[in-house]
Amino acid sequence: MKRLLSTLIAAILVPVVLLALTACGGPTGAQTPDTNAKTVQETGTTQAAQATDGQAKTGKDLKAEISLMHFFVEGDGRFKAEQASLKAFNEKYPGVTVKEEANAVAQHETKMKTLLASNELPDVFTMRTNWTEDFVKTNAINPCDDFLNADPEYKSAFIESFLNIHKYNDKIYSIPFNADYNAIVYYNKALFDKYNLTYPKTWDELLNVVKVFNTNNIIPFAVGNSNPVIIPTSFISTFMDRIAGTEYVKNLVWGDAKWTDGYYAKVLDYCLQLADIGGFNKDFNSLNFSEMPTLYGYEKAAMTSIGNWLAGPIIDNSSKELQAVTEVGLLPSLPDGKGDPNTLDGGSGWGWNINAKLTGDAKEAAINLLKAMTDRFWAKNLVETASMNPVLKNIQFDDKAVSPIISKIIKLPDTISGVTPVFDQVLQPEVEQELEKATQAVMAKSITPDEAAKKVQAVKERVLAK
Amino acid sequence: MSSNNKIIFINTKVIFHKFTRLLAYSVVLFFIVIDIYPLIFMVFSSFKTNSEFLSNMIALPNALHFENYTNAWRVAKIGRFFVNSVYITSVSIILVLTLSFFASYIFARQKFRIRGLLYTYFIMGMLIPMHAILVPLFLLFSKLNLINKWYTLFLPYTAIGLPYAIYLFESFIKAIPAEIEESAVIDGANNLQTLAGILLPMCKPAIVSVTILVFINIWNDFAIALVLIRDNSFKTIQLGLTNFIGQMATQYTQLMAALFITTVPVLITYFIFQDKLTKGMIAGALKG
Amino acid sequence: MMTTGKKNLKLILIYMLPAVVIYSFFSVIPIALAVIYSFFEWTGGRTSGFIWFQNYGELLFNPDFWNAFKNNVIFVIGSCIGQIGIGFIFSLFLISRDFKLKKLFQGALFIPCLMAPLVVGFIWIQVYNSRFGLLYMIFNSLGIDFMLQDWLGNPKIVIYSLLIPHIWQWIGFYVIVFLAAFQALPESVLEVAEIDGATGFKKTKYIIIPLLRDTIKVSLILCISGTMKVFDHIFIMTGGGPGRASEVLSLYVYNNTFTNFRFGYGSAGSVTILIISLGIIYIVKILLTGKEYNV
Repeated sequence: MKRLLSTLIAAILVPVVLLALTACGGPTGAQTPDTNAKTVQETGTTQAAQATDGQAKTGKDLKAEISLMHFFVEGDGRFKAEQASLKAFNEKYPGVTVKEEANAVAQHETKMKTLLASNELPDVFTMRTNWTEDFVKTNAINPCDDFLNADPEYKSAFIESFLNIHKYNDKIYSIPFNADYNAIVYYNKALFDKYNLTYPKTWDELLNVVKVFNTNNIIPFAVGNSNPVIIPTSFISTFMDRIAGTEYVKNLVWGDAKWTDGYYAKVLDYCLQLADIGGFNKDFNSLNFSEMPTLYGYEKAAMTSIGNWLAGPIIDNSSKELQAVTEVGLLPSLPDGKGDPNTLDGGSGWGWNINAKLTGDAKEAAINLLKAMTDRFWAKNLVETASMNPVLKNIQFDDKAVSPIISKIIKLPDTISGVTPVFDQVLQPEVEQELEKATQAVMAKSITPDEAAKKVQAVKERVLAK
Repeated sequence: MSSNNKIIFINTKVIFHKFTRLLAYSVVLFFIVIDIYPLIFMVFSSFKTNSEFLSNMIALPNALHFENYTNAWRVAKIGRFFVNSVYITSVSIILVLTLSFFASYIFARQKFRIRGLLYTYFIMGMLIPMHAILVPLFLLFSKLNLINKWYTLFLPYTAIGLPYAIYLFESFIKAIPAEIEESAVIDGANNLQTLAGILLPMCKPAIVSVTILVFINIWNDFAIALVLIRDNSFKTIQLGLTNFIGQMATQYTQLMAALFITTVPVLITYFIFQDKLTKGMIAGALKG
Repeated sequence: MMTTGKKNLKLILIYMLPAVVIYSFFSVIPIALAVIYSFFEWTGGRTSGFIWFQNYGELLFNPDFWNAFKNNVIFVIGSCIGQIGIGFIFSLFLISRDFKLKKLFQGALFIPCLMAPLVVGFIWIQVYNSRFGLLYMIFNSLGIDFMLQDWLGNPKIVIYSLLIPHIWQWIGFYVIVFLAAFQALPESVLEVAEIDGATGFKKTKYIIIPLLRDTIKVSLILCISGTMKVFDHIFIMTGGGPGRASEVLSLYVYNNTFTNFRFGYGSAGSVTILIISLGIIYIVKILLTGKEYNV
């Protein structure tokens, strides 16, 4: 009996003990990581310095094996562009082997976080900008300023404000690859003309437009908020700017302005009002955003407020005639609004970076791969094959190869007076999640705007207190 | 039973009986329809174009877009991933059945001091939420260098299936009188022979239940496969299916085609075995 | 019972060891690690701080956690009644001697079991779709439009809308479990129930159900343990929304672990789910079996 007991217990305990010893990579981690990071940084700098000395290895000499992880699966519009960039990279650096892994975005996020927790990030990867703080705190990534400054031609191609969005503690921590403008109102001008309406620039004009469309059985705004990020990103972010001004919004995100100051609740009231008078399709809280383009495309809805990133599906779902009469506009101004009505919420939610642990040839290969994923070749393909806005200046593309909608969107940033932050790109993940869920709950009438404001503020305070 | 009795019963209860029969059959038909409907929906959708699908999901396809199938095969890498899913699931099921059969036999037939404790130890495994162990599993496998191997997934899948299997087998074996084995022993069979030759065949219904339960859990898992596997050569079909989900839009119709391709073989396999294994169960419940 | 001599101990060891080893290594150790993490404030990588039971404290005072718990309880009760209840009734149909369509029925019932949650979730989203979903079509043709709801967008009913696919999916499995149990019953019992026709309902209640008590217990435990962990199809259909109206415990943990980067807090949530599940099962066991050997 004793033998049985002891053998069985041993069978259980031995692996446990073995594991406790090996699992030092978990929360009981020691002090060594910091020194590692420093060494990497030092070698990194010397490496870069050496490179700029003009002795950089040419394409054919560089030999390394690096891993690449992103979310451009075949179902994603940017798949072709990414594959083209990868191919160009492989041709230029035949000595570098790239092990690529792509997972759909939700899976990519799960996997990246699991890898982060185990300190086993891949070499080159896509990351959300709001992961930056946590990634930096765990020494997973290094600033990109080094290799950016080492290649002025590459750096100057970027629209500077987008690079700045990826800053943390004044250093750039990821490289953007497409520009998001998240509250572009695509509207069917032909429908507006049919009912003698002009595109609304003020809130009251909007209410009137909604009334007319409803009388004629047309959905004013197609909205699909089952993924609760949609209303915050395509309405709330911009409306907050309208009502309180860009400086306040920045203060709300990064400073000590409070969600309970009253502006957020007011914006929610406006959105509720819009929903109540029939401004949205009735099932807006359970509709998936992928159906928004279809509603618009089949002319059941006159407008849809969504980002430029949904332009591709909108084009796919619209006839050529509809594409020709589709215009793009901004959300209207709000009564008593302090903000400039000519701003658009935009930014860059994702970026590329490389693993901080890389050194030597592998690091150089990784940097070059990252550049291949974000250079002018990538940007051109992005516009032409994925219908998205690049973050580089003066990208020439074939006007005839793209839909008229794309041309209008590309030109839109030139007409606005400023860009306001997109909440889901800049808020801490916990605050953003609470914002999404609270907003959705308000729109579903489960809680009041004031309660929502209190909830979001509570999370903000808890996060800042850490 | 004499037929006279039967007739008497039917005569007196005929009206009530007929009504409940009608009700019963309506319910049955209703369920047959709603259970087969998803397959039909999948097939119809798989022949549409994506925007056609999103505009009206109920309508019949305008034209038959067979290219959805060829695309789906390619994008979801069905050839490779399906094979992976099949061999990983099969091996895991065999491991679970074998290990749990022996362990359950001990639980059901032997008394030893820590039996209760050990039993609870196993049963608790049924309650472990999947996402709780993703990070620890990854850490563990990473340290032991077990990531991304052809045998990687057998281990957690077997470990996760064991509690259910042991629970089901133990209940089942407990209900079988021990005298059956004892008489075999008297006849000279050693323990292994008894188990394999006599007890195992009697456990067929339990084997069926366990196989089905474990199969469903493993075949449909993707969280663990996502985290423990990197190479395309070892990925499972569930991961392949997510290739259709872009950040902005999903290729629904190709996804439907892929789903159809991957569900049908499983169903066919089930129907083949349904005949063999459960024929005994349904008819056997009323022999004669 | 067999004699317990030294030889038998060796037998026990050999038969048990493989299962114990694999299970310990790949199930128990991960959850043990999760327990360890739950005592830390850990945001990934190597930064962490030992904070005793703070995570648990925060959890137990967080109304969102209890909201998820409430949703889970609704789910468990609904699933047990639906899956096991309906499964049992259907299994009775299937052993009925003069029931036609046996093979078709049993086959059809089983199809949903095999579907991945991705599929189930997606198909049911379409069923609930307000413009052309199956429900819309049915209600429309029956002329009862006014009963149409935003099935997945109305926070008051969303949890019930989500319960239905879950029940629908698993009925077939419990049918099989009960069929297996019936096979083990002595024939005479079933013949009596069968031939008595309509009054068979009463005979079923007083004869069959008590005999099947063990199977019902097994089914309940399987159902509870599975439903306490339910995640995938809710994740796909509503992500826990609108707001947190359909958030269940595993979703709550997932959001905190993978979206919020709070691995410690998330682990505490997982451990709490485990403990609660254990508690519920223990209560069920006591209610159903009184005192039996061991668990």
